[in-house]
Amino acid sequence: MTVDIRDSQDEAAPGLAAAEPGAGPGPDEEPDAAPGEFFRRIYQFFYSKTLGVVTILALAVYVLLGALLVQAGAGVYGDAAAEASFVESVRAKYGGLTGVLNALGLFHIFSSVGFLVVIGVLALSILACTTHRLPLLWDRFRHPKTHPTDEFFGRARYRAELSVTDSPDVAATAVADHLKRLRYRVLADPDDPRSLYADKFAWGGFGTVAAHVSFLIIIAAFALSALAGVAEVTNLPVGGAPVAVGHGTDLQVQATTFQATYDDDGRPLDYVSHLVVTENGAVVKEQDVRVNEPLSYGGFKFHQNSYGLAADVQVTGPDGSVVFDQSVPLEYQTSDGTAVAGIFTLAGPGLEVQVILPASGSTDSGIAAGDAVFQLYKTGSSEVLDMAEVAPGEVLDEGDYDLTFLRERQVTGILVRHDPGAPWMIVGSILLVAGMTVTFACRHRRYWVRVAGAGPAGGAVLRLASSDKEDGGFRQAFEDLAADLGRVFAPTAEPAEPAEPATEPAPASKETTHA
Amino acid sequence: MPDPLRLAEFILPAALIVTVIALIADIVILSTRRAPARTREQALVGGPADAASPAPAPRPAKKSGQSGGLAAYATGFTAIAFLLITVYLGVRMIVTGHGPFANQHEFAVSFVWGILLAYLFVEWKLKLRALSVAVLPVAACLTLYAMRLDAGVEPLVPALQNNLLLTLHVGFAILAYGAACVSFGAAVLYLVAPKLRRLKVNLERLDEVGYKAAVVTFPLLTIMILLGALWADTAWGSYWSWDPKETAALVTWLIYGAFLHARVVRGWRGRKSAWLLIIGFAAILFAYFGNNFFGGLHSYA
Repeated sequence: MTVDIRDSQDEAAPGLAAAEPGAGPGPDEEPDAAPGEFFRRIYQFFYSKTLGVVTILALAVYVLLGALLVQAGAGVYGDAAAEASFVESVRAKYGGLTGVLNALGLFHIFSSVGFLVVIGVLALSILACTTHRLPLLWDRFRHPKTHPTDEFFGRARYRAELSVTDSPDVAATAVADHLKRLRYRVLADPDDPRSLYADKFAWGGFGTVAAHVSFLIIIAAFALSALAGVAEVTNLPVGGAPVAVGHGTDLQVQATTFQATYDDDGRPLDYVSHLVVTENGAVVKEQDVRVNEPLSYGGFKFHQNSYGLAADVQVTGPDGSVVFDQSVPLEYQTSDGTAVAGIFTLAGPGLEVQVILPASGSTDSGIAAGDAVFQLYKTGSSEVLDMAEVAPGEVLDEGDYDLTFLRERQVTGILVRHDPGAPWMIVGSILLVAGMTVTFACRHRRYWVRVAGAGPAGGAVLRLASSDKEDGGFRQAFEDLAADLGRVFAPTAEPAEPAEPATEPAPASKETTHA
Repeated sequence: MPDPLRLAEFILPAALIVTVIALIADIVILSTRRAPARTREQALVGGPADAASPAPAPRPAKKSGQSGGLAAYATGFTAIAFLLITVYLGVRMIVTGHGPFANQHEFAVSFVWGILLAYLFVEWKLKLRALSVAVLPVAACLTLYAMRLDAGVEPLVPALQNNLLLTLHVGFAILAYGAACVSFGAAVLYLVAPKLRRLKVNLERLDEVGYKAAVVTFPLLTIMILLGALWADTAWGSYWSWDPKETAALVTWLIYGAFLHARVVRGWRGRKSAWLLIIGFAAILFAYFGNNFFGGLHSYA
């Protein structure tokens, strides 16, 4: 039985397939992978190469918009008031388009439904392409077709002929031996002892599979990080009490020191916090944490994130017991920038308390250096109940509650993080690079050789062919191999007269007329 | 003792002048040479099996003695420009103690270095001098841009104080961008060469070089982005933050990914392929210059 060489993935070699419209299924033709017609069509839709390219481009456009348009911070689009405030803040920039952009989700692109749909379609496309290709690649790897038709040798994209004086049997053996020396896998043609198939990097195609699977792993890592990850900034009072990490752990973290270093021009040189992590009261790890040197323990990482000031405040209740004793981070700034403020609530009396201190270096805040201002509101109300400036240690008597401003203190902002997606991200990254390397560096090279009699003086004619895609690199490799085989039989080998192609030679296209 | 940085300031204008001289020499060579001849390869290797396939790429024609001599000068000037840029970057590395990637000025010069390296490699390997007409102007413009930026040496901000990842992450970016510029140059030439009668280049070779350069660009971009993610995971506590700069880098990666898929699985060649490569390089420039208006976590760069 003879089969023609055709390549269902090789769309760059259509001439061969088109020349034999009545031919049966090719060796690499896809199997019917899905059970029912309906699902088969869905499957076909997703493994369509066009869909893959279009989806990648759509994702590129989406991501580009994400880079060009102002994006809301995390949590803004889960809070109606914050969302309205954000939309108003960008209205000056986008004018009449603001409503449309907002309705399309373009101010929070990376969590928008449209973006997630594109990512989902891309993931399905990759999955379908990969499952569709795997059987083909495996078939090529394990059971390459070894017997092409004679016509193939006259029509293949890459083909060469050599006339040698050796007998066909001797020539066939010499070619096989030479290809083996060149580390080709050489397979005999069971239908013709003077034909053979040789290839190199038969496994190279699996690199593409690895690269595509890696992309799925990376998408899954993103999802895992978003759904199961922890990332929250904790303001640790420097020299203050340990703070519980939470999230089902018994970990506590404490900042014993913090140092920010600047050069003479005020440019930052270093931020470093000394953190001590304890578990059930015992110190389990401590180190200096810098921007590039996080502390890792128990699946959690502690990153240097920010720093600032806090006000140590103590509140006693009606019975004299301490109901609040914390460092209140001064996270807010007044509109004129002269003062900084922190907020805490007292659940018992239903009070919201603002602690206001002069901003660093400011003398225009109206607050004496070293003092603080307590400003009290009823929770949920904007009406000021009371306001007083107090010196360190001074008490503000607020009915049954006494508020004491103890001192100003530095806080270091530590990002506490647990990210189950991160290891998978690394796995996906390594697989992506490995897959790409194999794909581009170890391209599968296939050659068919047929030796026939009737050469000059009764010798043999060697016919070498390959049906790979048009590719300058492969063309060069093919030419090199043909020349190399010529040298095997030197000095007797001569290039055969250029065989008339079975089809008309391609006319010089418009694009090649400058050549 | 003279300040090495002050002395190095003279190197960039010199590199710019030498680059422009090399470009002029290349233009003269290309506009006066004859069309390349076909080789006998076709006698040995079969031609295309179908009408859609291009003819085999002919080798460059033998040069006349005059243009051959000028070619040596053109290549020599390009190599000198590359060496000058290398010396400049070396001086800055010695003075600063870290890779020359800490600000826009240093990265612009490094970008030029990557472009010249990629171009010289392609010229040496493929003898495709015509690329210089499109690639060297980019290198010259970037050199000029770098000269206009503040070249002062500043200490690394804390986020950049990771010499290994700074060198690897930005180093791969430079190599990727250099290769991308070559693919851009090939694509531009592919589109304009038919309109320039005096520019005799083989379009199929340009198409092939554009593709090959993109094949180099894509893995390098991938490694650059992945190293950036690894670094961000350490320094910022998140391997991906949708920061505008990293988002722009992702756009670039997606465009080159789309190009390779379109080329390999859809058989895109010629003009469509060239336009995608131009868009890809535009995305690279967008990611690079974006620092001027993006803000975000990369705003120090």
